Amino acid sequence: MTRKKPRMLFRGLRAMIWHDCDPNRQFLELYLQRLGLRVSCCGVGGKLCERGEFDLLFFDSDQDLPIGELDLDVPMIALVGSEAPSRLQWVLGHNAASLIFKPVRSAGIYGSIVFAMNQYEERLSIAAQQERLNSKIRYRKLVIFAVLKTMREQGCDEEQAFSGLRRQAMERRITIEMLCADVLAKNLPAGHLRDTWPLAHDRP
Amino acid sequence: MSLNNIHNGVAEIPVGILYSITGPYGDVNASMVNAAILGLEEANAELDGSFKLKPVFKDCHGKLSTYSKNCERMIYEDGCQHIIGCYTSAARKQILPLLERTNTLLWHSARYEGFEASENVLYLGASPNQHLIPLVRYILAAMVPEIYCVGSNYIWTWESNRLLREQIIEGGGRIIAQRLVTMGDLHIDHIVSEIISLKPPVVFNTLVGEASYRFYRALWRAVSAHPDLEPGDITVVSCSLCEEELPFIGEPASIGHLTSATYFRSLERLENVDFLTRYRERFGDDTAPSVDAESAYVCARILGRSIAASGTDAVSAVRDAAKTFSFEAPEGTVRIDRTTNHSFLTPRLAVSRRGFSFQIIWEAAEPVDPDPFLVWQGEAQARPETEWKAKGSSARARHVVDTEAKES
Repeated sequence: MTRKKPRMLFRGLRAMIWHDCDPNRQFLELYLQRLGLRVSCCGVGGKLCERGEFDLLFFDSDQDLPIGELDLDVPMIALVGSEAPSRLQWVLGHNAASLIFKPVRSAGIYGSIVFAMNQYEERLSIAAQQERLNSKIRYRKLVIFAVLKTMREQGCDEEQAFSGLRRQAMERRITIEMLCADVLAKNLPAGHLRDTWPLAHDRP
Repeated sequence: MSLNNIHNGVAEIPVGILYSITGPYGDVNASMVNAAILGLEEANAELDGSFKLKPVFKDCHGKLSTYSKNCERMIYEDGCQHIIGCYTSAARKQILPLLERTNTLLWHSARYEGFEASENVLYLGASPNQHLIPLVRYILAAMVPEIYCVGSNYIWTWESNRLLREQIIEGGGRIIAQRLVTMGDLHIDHIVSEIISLKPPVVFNTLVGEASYRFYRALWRAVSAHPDLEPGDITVVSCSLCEEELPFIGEPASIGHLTSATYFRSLERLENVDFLTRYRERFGDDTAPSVDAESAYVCARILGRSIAASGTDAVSAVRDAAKTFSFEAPEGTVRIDRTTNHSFLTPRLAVSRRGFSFQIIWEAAEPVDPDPFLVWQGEAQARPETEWKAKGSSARARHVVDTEAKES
């Protein structure tokens, strides 16, 4: 698998800093602006605004912030003061993508964003890949049935049946699992498979 | 007020000058030390006895550990809160934690590869959008953009090549090859042979010191000896070749190379002619500064005016004051940007000619915004200043500059 070119530029990215106002937060805010990010801040006692309003979260790992309750789906960077095992466990438990140590200084901020954004994108792409593989496993049975059906109807061997199905899938530009589902669906009551199977035109 | 020593009624402020006049790049650092000293002397004269800037020079011999040691001595023993210096990025990175810990301000004179913006550094040297980007644009517009890269294996080369590759490919050109040699390795004949066989129209050179001079000489000999090639068929371009290095290469090998920089000695500007005269009067007729030295001079002059404006040598007050005015430097109008601590500078392209000098072939119409993280490239240099949020509009930095220039 060839790796995608890493993202190095973050202009326009919306960052949220969940940390009380102090020199750490002030300097981080200034530095993020230098990098072209749009920055909002929220004190640790404040309520973080709704999901979807920022693309990157910096949070204070020295406070027991209710991150788990928020169901956030953005890359997160922990602002770490206390580097003790308990706090690092807590940070790991919230899937932080990288760390910045306090007191915040210029060195390390850009690097931590590069890592957080790229790790996060890689995590998403691995999750999507995993979902694709899971659905392949789920529909493996359908492929076997479709091959058997084709062998039966056309009197060919399994290799020829599979090649035929694969060719048809390629011609219709859908996965072989989808094609097999379609082939089998013709024997089934209408709509039976469609409840669970996304059709070609439903795909992104 | 934290002025240091009162001497004959005049507050004396020690200013560190941290370069290496011996070691691998000692030859080019000597003029930076001279220029910084000249700048401090002129700042003292301008201020007419209200305070005295005292140069504290320490030679670092090009060794990283010596930079740390000398910087520490300047801060703790000599009481320096302001230091002019550093030629390589490695040296700057070495002393940066110490500067930040002790809240000391470095006035950084050299061009560098960007991607840094410390509160304890004022960057008077150019960042890539002021040296490499103009060069790339020129290559794409006026040359065949097929480039062979040769360089010393270190950060300046890595970052320059990365950026060059991205910009050239985006512009429809290509990188033919990239060859790196270990820093200090003088064996470059195999690279010259490869260049002669590939015949690239452009060679991008990031070699340093003696390796670079040997490369220019060897390439000239090889091109001259080749039946199908003429000097000029292969143009060597760089962001580092300067006047002081041309005699080390020697004529005619030193002629015809394209350099991007914010200052050339041949710049026709009254401030520059006067500056060169004063420099030669002070240090001898056979001496003259090049880009990084001129920038060290500008550091000293802006430092002097900032201390005068703030009435103290305290770092935060001086840093704030330094961003409130522009300075008519030999290289043009220089102003330090509020947001990035980098400077508005005027990019120029020049070709080396006979007499160890450069002929300027292009210059930007006005000083260019610093963009150390290359955030605003492709936006026609549009960059919001810090006030943009408050105003609710994305004011172009250039307009902001214009307004401030009119006000001052």
